[in-house]
Amino acid sequence: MNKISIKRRILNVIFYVLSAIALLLLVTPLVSIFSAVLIEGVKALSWDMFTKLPQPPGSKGGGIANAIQGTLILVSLSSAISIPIGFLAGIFMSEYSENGLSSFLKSITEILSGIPSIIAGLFVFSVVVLPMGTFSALAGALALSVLSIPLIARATESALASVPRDIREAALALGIPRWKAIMWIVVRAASGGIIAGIMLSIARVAGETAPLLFTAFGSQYFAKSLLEPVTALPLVIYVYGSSPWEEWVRLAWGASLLLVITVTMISVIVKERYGK
Amino acid sequence: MSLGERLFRALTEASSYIILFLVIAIGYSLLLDSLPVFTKFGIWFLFSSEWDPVRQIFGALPAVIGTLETSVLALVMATPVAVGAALFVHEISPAPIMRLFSPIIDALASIPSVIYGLWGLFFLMPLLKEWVMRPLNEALGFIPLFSGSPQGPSILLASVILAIMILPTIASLTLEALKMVPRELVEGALALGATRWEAVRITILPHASESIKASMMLALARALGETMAVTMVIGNTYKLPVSLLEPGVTITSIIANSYTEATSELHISALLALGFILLLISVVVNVISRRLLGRVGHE
Repeated sequence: MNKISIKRRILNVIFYVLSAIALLLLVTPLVSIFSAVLIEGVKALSWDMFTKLPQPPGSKGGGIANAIQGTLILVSLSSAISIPIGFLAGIFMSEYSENGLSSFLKSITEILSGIPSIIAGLFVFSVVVLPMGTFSALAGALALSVLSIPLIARATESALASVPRDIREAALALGIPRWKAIMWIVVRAASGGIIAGIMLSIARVAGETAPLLFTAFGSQYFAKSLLEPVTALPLVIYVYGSSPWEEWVRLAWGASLLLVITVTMISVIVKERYGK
Repeated sequence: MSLGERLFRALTEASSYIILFLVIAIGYSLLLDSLPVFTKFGIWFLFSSEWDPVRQIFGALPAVIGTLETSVLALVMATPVAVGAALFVHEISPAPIMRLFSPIIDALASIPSVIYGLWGLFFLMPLLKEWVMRPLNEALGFIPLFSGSPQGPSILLASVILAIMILPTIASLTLEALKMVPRELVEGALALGATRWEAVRITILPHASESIKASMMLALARALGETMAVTMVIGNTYKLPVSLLEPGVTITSIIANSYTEATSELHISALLALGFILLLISVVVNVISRRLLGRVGHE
């Protein structure tokens, strides 16, 4: 065997080893994060966690019932705002607009979906929180909507674009008005992709923290009105997780477990049912 | 056209213009809110490194540099790992591992950023401090980049977390690009006697390099705007970064850290001005990455 061939073989072995190490480096954090959340989260689980309010720093016990309530409020309110807008916008881009306009609107949608999430929070802070003079659940939901509208619009648009042209033409040839053909035939054919996109966008905003800092702000109590500050699971993880109090850190892990389970369940369901 | 038709069409049209309106409104309102700080400090806002809410003095430089430094460092660390993993999965490993790869990537991408932060604080930080930061400091402490006394929260830790967070972006787009390389080229190279590595280097990497560059830009955009994980581990010390092993600050971390304290008009204006700068940087990087992606045939 000559010298060159040994050198080539060694290079090849190095390639195998380095790329295997790379895969290991990619998988290790994932395993570590999931097991940390699982182990620390399960330690934090208790009935109180789901039913009680947080205790003042330093004292034992307490829960994050208010954060669970807050996340439910914020996510449902922002869904109520962003699903109709995103869905209809996606229909316009796919079904009604001319090619040029459509690709312009699509790139605008890309730009909006690419802005850092904290910018959405600053924007709502500037146009809603400052004029109203208070942080609020409404402001938090609006900030989350800024993030989810483009996601839903893009998912709807691309799901609709994958419906064959013949189906539209067949429907129109039957004399059905265009909007009914779109709503009852084209949208139905694309419903799997649209629902999957909506669910994934909900999973994404449920875990968002940055846009809530300057809008929902956080609170130690249950929310009684949409115009009051409210807390949420991700906010609890941030604030309690970076606090020096053991009991609060424990609650942060508990909140992480709830959040990870929710997000993972949504994406598993989406994958199983819609193959996305 | 019937009334229903016109109404429906108008609704869809209005909805898509809401998206356009949001993009313009975000840029406009942040710009407008930045004016007080720019009229007070002028262009010096960008070049001054003092940040003192009490004396009402604000300068953006450390935050801007911190953002660029952590993001670029993250990109440098993440790219070889993500590309290497994608190559291993596509070229070397048996099929079952390849099928597991995209669920793994999806799972990594779906973890909320605040959980990366929590994990970074309690698991990665002790590990990195003991096994990387201390040894680096002891061996190379005479170089300013590794000087200081490593406590844990640091620019390096923030960059490592960011690197982990952008792995899925680079890995998934790279894998897609690898799949698009004509198989005959690789087979041909192998048939001519090339080793696996040579086949990869000669046929695959040149084909996939544009896609990899595009995925890097996309990952960079994500890293620049990343807030929670960075805020939780960077230590938030407002000064120009010298050592990687010491605490620093980014645009997002100073914003996130000030949300309970910003009450004066000028302080708020300074934060929104930082937001505006971040918006500009990330839109530019995003547009470039979309251009690159479009060129290599992703939607």
